[in-house]
Amino acid sequence: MKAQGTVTTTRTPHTPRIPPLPPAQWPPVLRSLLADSRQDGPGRENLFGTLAHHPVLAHAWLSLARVLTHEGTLGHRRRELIVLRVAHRLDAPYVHGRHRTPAADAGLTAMEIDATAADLATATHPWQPEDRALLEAADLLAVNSSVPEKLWDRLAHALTPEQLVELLVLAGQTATMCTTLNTLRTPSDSAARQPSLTVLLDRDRCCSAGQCVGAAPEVFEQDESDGRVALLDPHPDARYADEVRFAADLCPGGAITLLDPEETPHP
Amino acid sequence: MTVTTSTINLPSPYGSCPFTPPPAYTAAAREAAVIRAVLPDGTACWLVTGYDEVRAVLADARFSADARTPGFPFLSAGQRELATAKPSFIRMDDPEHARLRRMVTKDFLVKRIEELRPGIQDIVDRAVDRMTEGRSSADLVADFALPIPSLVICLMLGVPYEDHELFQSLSRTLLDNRTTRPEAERAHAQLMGYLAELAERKRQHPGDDILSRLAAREDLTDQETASLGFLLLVTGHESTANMTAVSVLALLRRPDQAELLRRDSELARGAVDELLRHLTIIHLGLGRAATEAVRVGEVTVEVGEGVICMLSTANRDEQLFGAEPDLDLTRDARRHVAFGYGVHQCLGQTLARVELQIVLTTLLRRLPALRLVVPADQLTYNRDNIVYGLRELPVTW
Repeated sequence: MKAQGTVTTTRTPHTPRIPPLPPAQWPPVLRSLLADSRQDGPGRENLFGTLAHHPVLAHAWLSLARVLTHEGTLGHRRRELIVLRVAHRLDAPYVHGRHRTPAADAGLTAMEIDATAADLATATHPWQPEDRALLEAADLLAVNSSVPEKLWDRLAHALTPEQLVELLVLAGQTATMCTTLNTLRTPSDSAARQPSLTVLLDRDRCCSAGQCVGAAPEVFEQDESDGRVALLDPHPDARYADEVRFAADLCPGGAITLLDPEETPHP
Repeated sequence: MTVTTSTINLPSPYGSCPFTPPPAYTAAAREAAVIRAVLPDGTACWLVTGYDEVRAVLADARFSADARTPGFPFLSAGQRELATAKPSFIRMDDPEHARLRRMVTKDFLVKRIEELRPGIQDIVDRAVDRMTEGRSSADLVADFALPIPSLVICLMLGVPYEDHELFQSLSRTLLDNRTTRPEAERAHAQLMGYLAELAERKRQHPGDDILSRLAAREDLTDQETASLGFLLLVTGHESTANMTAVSVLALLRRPDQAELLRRDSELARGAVDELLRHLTIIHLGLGRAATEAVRVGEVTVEVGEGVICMLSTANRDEQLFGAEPDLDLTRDARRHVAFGYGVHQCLGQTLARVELQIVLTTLLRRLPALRLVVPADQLTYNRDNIVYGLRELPVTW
């Protein structure tokens, strides 16, 4: 995983105005996405934990996010360019920092990613005309300014009507998230996470006694369809390591195996 | 290592303390983790007293929980009848046990039981009202401890309230060691007949309950449905009721501990686990039979030999729980095996914990002056039953 320095992290740390809820208190849909969210960076624990205060809204937000991320028509590179620029413009380190890896995965170079956080007028990065139009649009949309005719023509030249509509909604959705997290002073996730051990399940051995859920609700849950154990996180954070070891010891069926670097194997 | 040669006769007489297992068991536990024993019918078996050994046996598929397996240990004729005639899944081995257990696991998920809290609180509050209304003393067993878990499990199963009385008396008959074999057979047949008939009614008029869901399944015979319902009823109310009564008595005898819990209801979760550990209401059990020769601790249990895993002595393991045996509600007792261990570990344990948490905190809050009417040494105990409890608990408030 890349660990590059973020661009706008000079602000002093604040206590969150509404602390994110722990995963045990999230609606199941958020918990089921946590492991996925670790595919391209730190898990979005604080974002999800914030949304978890409002489960109905969390569902709606996730639906839109899913469309923009997986079913969008702009393409990954354009999308990440807009997100990074809106996040920079709104001084939102959570969003900007968290999107470095997805942006790189979408084909943006490290130089381009850094350049999304530089002044367009004075910076020297040689943006292609279409990229430049997108960045200028993001600057305006982030602060809800109107888009001048000339810029609109440049965008309309490069994008279909469908992509144009998506561009506006994407910029708006990103701005909403940046404003929400900034206002709540929600901290970034990156520093907190330290994966420690790996959890393996043998679901055939699960007898649904529920011991694991009682011992480590952040890591284990019971699948409502068959009552058996399911993992919220196969690589739990170090702070849950003791709970997870306790859960494995309590499990009456021997369904939980740990790959635990801190435990010396028995002879 | 010394292998003990002494033998203990089962069951062994109780000592002076009502809450501790007979002294012979604790003495045996100090002597060895596995010791020779003789059952009332003269058969030899092994008594497994150590925590690690108890967990090892209960987690080992080579030990059968099927009472029809040669060598399976019985303490009475009633127990033999209950376990062998038409066994429920607690007396089966995998894969058959897992198949049937999984029919009802969904109804006992931690999340689902947590959702029952308000309903259980309501049942408990009404029970306190009924017990105290217009009088100044009551029998806490008959008037409070027995009706509550019965109401909860009947609610989950969909058993009509007017039939609760019948269930309580029949399941008490079945669990009592003094019950003769014909009596046990009669009680069992009566309950199974009722449940099969109720399942049929549920098929016609389903409700939002376990029996309705089971009755609707095509992969379950009526016999299996009745047997599952029977198991949940019997295990769901007798054990929790006994645990409720002895827990209340334990707290009445230790006002300092009661005061701790009264002042801080957050302590309830840990307190209930400590009570489960300290009281371990199955003083003598659980039984298993070896289907292969298995090394347990220092001995080899041969094929066809029975073992009795002593939950009560395992829960007094000094290394795990400390050398001080007295009730300490602040102790971390979560490793106790009061609900057993292995794939048969109590399916209803979350329900039992939640019921006990609510019952105890509610009693302490609403009846702060609760006390015994008779001296503690005049109380009578159900010491012949598999699950140990109080016959009566006369209290005033």
